Order: sequence, then C-alpha cells, then structure tokens
Amino acid sequence: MAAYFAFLFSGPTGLISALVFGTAFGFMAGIAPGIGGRIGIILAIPFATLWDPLAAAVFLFAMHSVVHTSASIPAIAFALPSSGADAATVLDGYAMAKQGRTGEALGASLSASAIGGLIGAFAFLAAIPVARVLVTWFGPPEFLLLAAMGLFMVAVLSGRNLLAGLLSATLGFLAASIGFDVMSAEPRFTFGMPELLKGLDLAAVIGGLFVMPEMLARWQYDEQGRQRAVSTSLADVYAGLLKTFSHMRLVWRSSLYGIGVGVMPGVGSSVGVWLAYSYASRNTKSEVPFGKGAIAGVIATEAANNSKEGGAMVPSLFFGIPGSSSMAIMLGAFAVVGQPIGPSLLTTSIEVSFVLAATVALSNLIAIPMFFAVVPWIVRMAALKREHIVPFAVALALFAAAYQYLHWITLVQFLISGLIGIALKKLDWARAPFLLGFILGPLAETSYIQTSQVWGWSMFARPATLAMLAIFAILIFSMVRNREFAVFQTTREDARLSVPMAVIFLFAGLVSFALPDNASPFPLIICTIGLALAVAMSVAVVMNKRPAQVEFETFDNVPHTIGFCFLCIPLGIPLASLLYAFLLLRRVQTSVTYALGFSVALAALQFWLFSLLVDVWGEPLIIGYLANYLGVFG
Amino acid sequence: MRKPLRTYFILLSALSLIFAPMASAMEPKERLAGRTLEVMVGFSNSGGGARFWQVYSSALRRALPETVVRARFNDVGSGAIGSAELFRLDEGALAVGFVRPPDIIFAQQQSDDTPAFNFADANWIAGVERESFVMAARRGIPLDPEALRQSEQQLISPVSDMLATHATVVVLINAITGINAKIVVGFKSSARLKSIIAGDTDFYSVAADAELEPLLESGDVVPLYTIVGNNFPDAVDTSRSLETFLVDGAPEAVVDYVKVARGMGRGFFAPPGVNDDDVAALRAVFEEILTDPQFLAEAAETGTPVSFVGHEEFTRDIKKLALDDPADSAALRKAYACGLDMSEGKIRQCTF
Repeated sequence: MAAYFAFLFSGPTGLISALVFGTAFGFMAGIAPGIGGRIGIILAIPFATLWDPLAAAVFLFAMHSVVHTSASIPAIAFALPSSGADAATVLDGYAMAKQGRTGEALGASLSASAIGGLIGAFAFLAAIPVARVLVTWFGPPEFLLLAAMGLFMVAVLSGRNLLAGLLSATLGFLAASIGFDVMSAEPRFTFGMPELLKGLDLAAVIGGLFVMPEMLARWQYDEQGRQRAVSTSLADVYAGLLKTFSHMRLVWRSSLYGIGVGVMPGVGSSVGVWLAYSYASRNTKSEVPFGKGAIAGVIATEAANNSKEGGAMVPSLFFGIPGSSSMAIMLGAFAVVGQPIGPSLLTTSIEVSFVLAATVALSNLIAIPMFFAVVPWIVRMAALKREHIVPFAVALALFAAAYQYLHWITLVQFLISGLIGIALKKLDWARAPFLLGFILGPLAETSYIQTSQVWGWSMFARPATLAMLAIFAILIFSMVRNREFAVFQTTREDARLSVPMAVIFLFAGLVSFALPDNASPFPLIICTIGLALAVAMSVAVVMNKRPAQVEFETFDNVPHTIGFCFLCIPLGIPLASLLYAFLLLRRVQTSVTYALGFSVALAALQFWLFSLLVDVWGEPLIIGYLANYLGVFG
Repeated sequence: MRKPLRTYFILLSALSLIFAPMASAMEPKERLAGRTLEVMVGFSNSGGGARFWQVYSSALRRALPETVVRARFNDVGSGAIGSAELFRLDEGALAVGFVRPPDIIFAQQQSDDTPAFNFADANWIAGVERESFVMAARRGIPLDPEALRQSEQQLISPVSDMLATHATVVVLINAITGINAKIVVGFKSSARLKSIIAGDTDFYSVAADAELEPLLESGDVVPLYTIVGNNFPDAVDTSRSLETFLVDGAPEAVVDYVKVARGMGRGFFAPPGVNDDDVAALRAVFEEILTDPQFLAEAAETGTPVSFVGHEEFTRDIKKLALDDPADSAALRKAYACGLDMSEGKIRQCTF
C-alpha cells in the first residue's frame, strides 16, 4: 500500500497524477456554487501536501488553470459568476442560455478558455529571458516600489472607493506585523502569547477571509437555470466549440489583453477580461448585439480569463509579487507545500518554470476531453444548492488551516479572519487589498529596512528605481485622468467599519510606541496611515450622509459556524465537522441518510488526511480535548 | 581442569568475546521496541521544514519499526517551547527533541527571565550537521583587518533576521574584530549571496560548500577569513582565520562561542526525564540511523547536508555554548550589546 502510495504521489508519476487530479479538482471547484478559483486553492492545500513540493505546485496550478473554464458553466447557465473575471461571461453567456443556446455558449467558452490558457502559458515562457534581465536589475528598492504599486493598484481597482481599499490594505499590513520583528527580534502585538511569535497563520487568515464570507452569504436558487443546465446536449457544445475557430483574431487579441494586464502586479484579476470584452464589443461584427447573446462576447472574455494567469505568473513566481488576489493565495499555498519561488526560478531552478508552464498548457488541453466526458453529469453538479456545499467548504478550509499548524490558536485566527471577511463583504469593501497587504507586508518591511540602510536617498540614482517610478507615475496619472476611482464615495454604513478601524489603529499605534526603537518604525507608519485614512473616511461619511446605494449582503448560519469553530476544541476537528455538516444539511431538508452519509465521509476524509501527517490518537485537536482529558483513547 | 573442558571453556570465552558486541548492538532496538518515542520537531506540519524532517522520520521509522514514532511539531521560537515541554516530562518518559541549540541557548542568555530549562542538563543523543564556515566578502574589499577597521564608509553585512545564528555571530564578530559592520536584515541565503556578488553589501558568514566553491575560484566572492572547520576549498587561504582578525583583548569565551555556534547544526536530545538505559539505547540506535548509507543517500538526494556528530563531542560543544561561568556569560552579553551599537553607528570600537 505504502509503495503504491509512493508510486502515485512521487517522482514522474507524481507529476502526472498531480496534473490529472489537479485538473479534475479545478473542474469541480469551478462548477461548485460559490467555490471558484480563490477558495478552490484554499481547499486544495491539504490534498496538495500529499505530493512532493513540485508536484504539489503542479496540482495547484493545474487546478487553478482550469477553474475558470468550468466556472463558465454556472456563469452561463445560472448567471452565477464565481469571480469578477467570470462576471463578464455572464453578460452574453446567460443571454444565450435564456435563448436556449446553453450548449453553444459552453462549447465556445471551453475552446476559447483552452486556447487562451495555451497562449498564456507560452507568454509566460516567452517572458523568462526578459525576466532574467530584470531580476538582475531588481533589488530591495525596486521590490519596495513594486509592492507599493501592486497594493495601490489592487486598492484602486477592487472596490467601490479608494479609501476603503487602502484601509483594507493597511489593516492587512498591520496583521502582517504581528510576531517577531526581523530587525530587533522583539515580539510585536503578541500580548505575551508565544503562539503568535511566528505571526498569524497564512492558511487560517486566507481561509477565514475568503471562504467563510463567500459560503455564508445568502443567494437565490435559479430553478429555470437548473432546467437549462440539465437539458444541454453534447452536439450543441461541440458546435459552440468550433465557432471559436472562426474568431481566432479575437481570441489572440483578447488573450493579449489578459496577459498584458495579468503581468501588472495587483491588477491581474478582472480588468483584462473587461478590457477584452470592451474591445470585442467595439470591434467585432455580430448579428446579435453585445449583451444580448453575442457569442463573441463569451469568446473574448473566456480567452482573456484563462490567458491572464500566464501573465500573472510572471510577477508572482519570479518576483514574489502577486499579480492578482488568487495568485496571492497561490503564493501562500506554495509556502505551505514548501515549493520555493523567486529569482531562482529563472536560474538554478528554471526547470520548475518549465514544468509550471507545461502544467498550464496541458491542463487546459486535458480540460477539453474531460469536459466532454463528464458534461452531462457535471452540469447537474452546477445545479447544486450552495447550502449543500457550505459545511464542506467551511470545514475543509478550517481543516486546511489546522493542517498547517495544529493548535487551537489557528481556529481562533480562522474565526476572527472570517468575521473580518464577513464585515468587509457586507459593506462591499474589497478583501483582496487586505490579503495583499498581509502577504506583501513582510516583503515591504524588509525592503524598506534594506533600502533605507543600504541605499538611503541614493536609491534614486538607480536606473531601475527611476524606471519603476516613471511607470508608477504614468499609471496613476492615466487613472486620475480617466477617473477610474472614487476617493470619497462613501455611504453612512461605511462608518460601521471606519470607526472601529480608527480605534484599532489608534490602539496599535499606542502599543507601537512602547516597542523598542528598531521594532517600532514600521508599525508606527502603518498605524499613522491607517488612522489618517479611517478618520478621513469617517469625516467623509459625516459630510456625505448618503444612504446606502448598494444592496448589502445577508449572511446565514453565522452563529452555527462560530459554534463549530469553538466546538472543534472539546470534540476535535473531525467530530465537530461531522456535527456541523449534519446540522447544516438537515437545515436545508437533506434526508437523514444523505446528511449522515456525507457528514461521516467528511469526518473520515479529515481523519485520514491527518493520519498521513501525525499520530492522530495523540493530538487533542483531532480526538478532542474532552476525549484526551478523559483518556478515552488511552 | 581437564583438557576437553578447558578447550570448551576457551572456545566459549572466545565466542562470547566475538558475539557479545553483536548482542549488545541488538539490545538497544529491543529495549525500545513496542514503545512510543515522542519526537518534538521545531517545524510546522507542512512546507519545506516538514519535508526536511521527513528525511529523518522515514529513517527513524525504518530503524525502529516496532517503535511508534510520534512526531509532535512545534515551530514557534525555534523549538524553545517544545523543548520546555520535553523538560517537564516525568521520569521514565521516552522522548527526544530535534533542535538547533545555538538559537535557543543564545535567546536564553539574552533574556532577563530565568530559563525554563538548561540544555546543559539534557542528554545529547547526536548532532547531524557540521560544516566549515568562512567570512565571504565582495570583490575588491581590502583583505587587511586594519584597512577594514579604518573604512570611511560603514561596511554592510546582510542577514536574514536577528534571531538567526548567523546574525548573532556577525554581531559578536563586529565586537571582537573591531570591523564595525552595519547589519541589515531581510536577506535570505540566496539574496545574501546575490547582494555580495552585486557589490551592494560587503561580507557575510557562509558555509564553504560546493555551491560557493566556483564563486570563490572565479573571484566573484572573496574569502576574507575562515571562521570554523577544517574542510575548505583550495581557493580559501586558511592562514587568514578569525584569530588573525581579532582585536587585542577579545574575550576567549566569546571567540569560542562564535566558532561553536557557527559550526554547530541541529541535534537530537533526550530530556532529563528519560532514564540512563533508554538514553544509551537511543544513542546507539541514532548512531546507526544517522550513519546508515541508505539514509545518507536519501538526505543527499533532497539536498540535506548530514554529518554525524557523536554525543560526547556534541555535549562538549553545548557546554561551551552554555557558558556556566558568570564572567564568560557577562562577556558575551557585553560583546553582543557592543556589536549591536557598532552596527547602529553609535560607537566605532568595543573596549574589553
């Protein structure tokens, strides 16, 4: 058994199995309501650790490469996008579905996605020689600017107002400064808890911030969409697939938009897709108007959607600066599975770059026959209610966090991050800037220290720094000229977050004053900026007094989920997951047999995965502190 | 004694002499068989550290198939918390810790609190790493210590973070060599080398291994002086050692500390609760595991450098690090504080 396991999960067979399983996992994640790319990566982490680091990276990349391909199914059939990038597909895809052309739209999206993915993979390979030159020019001053640029761009582009995005990013920076300070080795914001010395757990923060809000948000079930999905025929899909080839010029152009925007740190999420859609609507002749079911609208968005990953891989893998929020999560997942990234991928470990580029290309190709093989069944999966998935997604995300650090403090971090995520989502504040701030925080801090201590003002004599500053200035200028962001577009409800944040930054700032000289500058800068932004936002709220113009989301099962997190401590994670899943499935009228069967399967899966890692009978967080105290398992 | 009986007795004695060592070699594994060996490891459950540990854990499980090896992970404070937990175990426990002692011992020495445990009281089982280290410098740097001390612009030494042993060593070297380097954090190992080659920083301590050898030969990196060890590439001039760079009056205890801390890698220890017979069994079994050719091949395949260090030698080095003499301990604290002040530009020299 062990030999079979080793054969399947290591060496060359491990790479192949990772590719196939990753593609299949990505397919499922794309279809499952509410999962999509970002949450899919989080849920994939524990499974990825079954493989060696490189194969684990292949598994994650294969999963991520095809997730948008299958995410087009709920987007087209139900008008349910799993991300901002998939939302563009809804415009014409859903219109086509309502006209009875679901299969045609799915086929077109499938082939456009595959070709876009291939172009993205080749673009990534083509970028290697350029990146090799750039990386020799890049030092800490350029990394500092790149991190600042990425953060600014994502704050600008991912929310309804700039202040909210910047505040979210600053809070992420503050969260990243918890733990040992690299400069003085002094603990910061740990409040005497040794468990926090290493900082917050990445998997817990990501899982809480994204999985909990997405899963617990209320949504409407579309019965007509379900009917359309299950009546899709393979012949229609095939016909749609061929139509892409009569729009190859559009596919190329859209893919280039995706790649170009994907390369820019912090911008590579949905902007490229919308630019491609905009280009298609202006330059493509269509019998059906755009927005009313034009197939070119689906082709343009899907090609850009998959090609952008190839572009986003360049800053993420070679420089460690995420090209998008999903790439930020991917970098976190890479840290968990132990796959190094950075400039070494251009020199001593260049084979890793080739393997990952091949993964993107091959997974997109594998996706086509896989799609045809499973489409009659898989569209039924898209018809699942989100309530059926909620307990599994939440329990697996918490499991992924605990898998990394098996300690009760991880559960607390997951819960707090989840509540912050819910608060941000409720008021329509972007969570991506928080994540980027959290991931880029240590890089920005060390780059700041290195720049100030090694170069000082002489950094402005570096050609690479000047070039970066020029690019940064041009980008800001063009955005201001095009009025791409609103700074003070606040509503009354924003005060519910800006005021508590002001208190948090004020408190953290006061604590920072008590830190030793070397440990305090960065938190003080963060707190000062955060406090200023929070006060500015609160003042803007008072001045505007506008009622909410956006419909705020409602969340279900929040108390149950909080209770689940607490219950994991006395009962252990598998047993608490079993109870949580059973309760939530029964709440949506699932039969006792099915609810029990799926809940037990979830607990068994967690138990099995834990058993690969540790001796489960000796771990209180697996068997439960209660059983451990009572000595139930000896 | 009759002749046949005497012959029989002599034969029996000879056989005993031949087979006795073999019998005792079998004994340690039998003594541990069927019991649970707790191993406290200073890594997280997954990621690079866990994979590093897997090289050891698979060898442990192979050598002790009937022993339940229960790895308990603790990645906070380089295993200090886990070590404290092991020291609290009751008499008769069977457990080992896998730690990098210099990090923990130094943190304890710098703290005003009474340490929860003293590594000098532990039963050291074996060490697993021993490398030779040099102070590697950028191209064009003066090789004369006095010229370096007189440098108008403060030299820069890159380190990853202030908790790392290589950072502690560079701070102490500041004090005992009088070459006042500004210590800048945030450089991981590849970034340290890159910054030296690019000329952005001036020198750092590094293992003189196969990776460094071609850079030393090409002159992209210059060996300033040797710090510790005997196994250096030809390009290293071993006549320039740390001793030749010391200022007058540099405390011997601090110099010894620097050399031991830099040369010492991770090691396995059994806490005081483990009884003497079990400690002896563990030492025998771990020596067998850590010198097993199959294990060494697996470690080499994953790029994990392994070099077995016996428990006597490792214990000797631990005692040198522990600095039981209060005067030596005070000298270390003073040197560290002084080295930091030099790094921050507050003073140019330490007075001993």
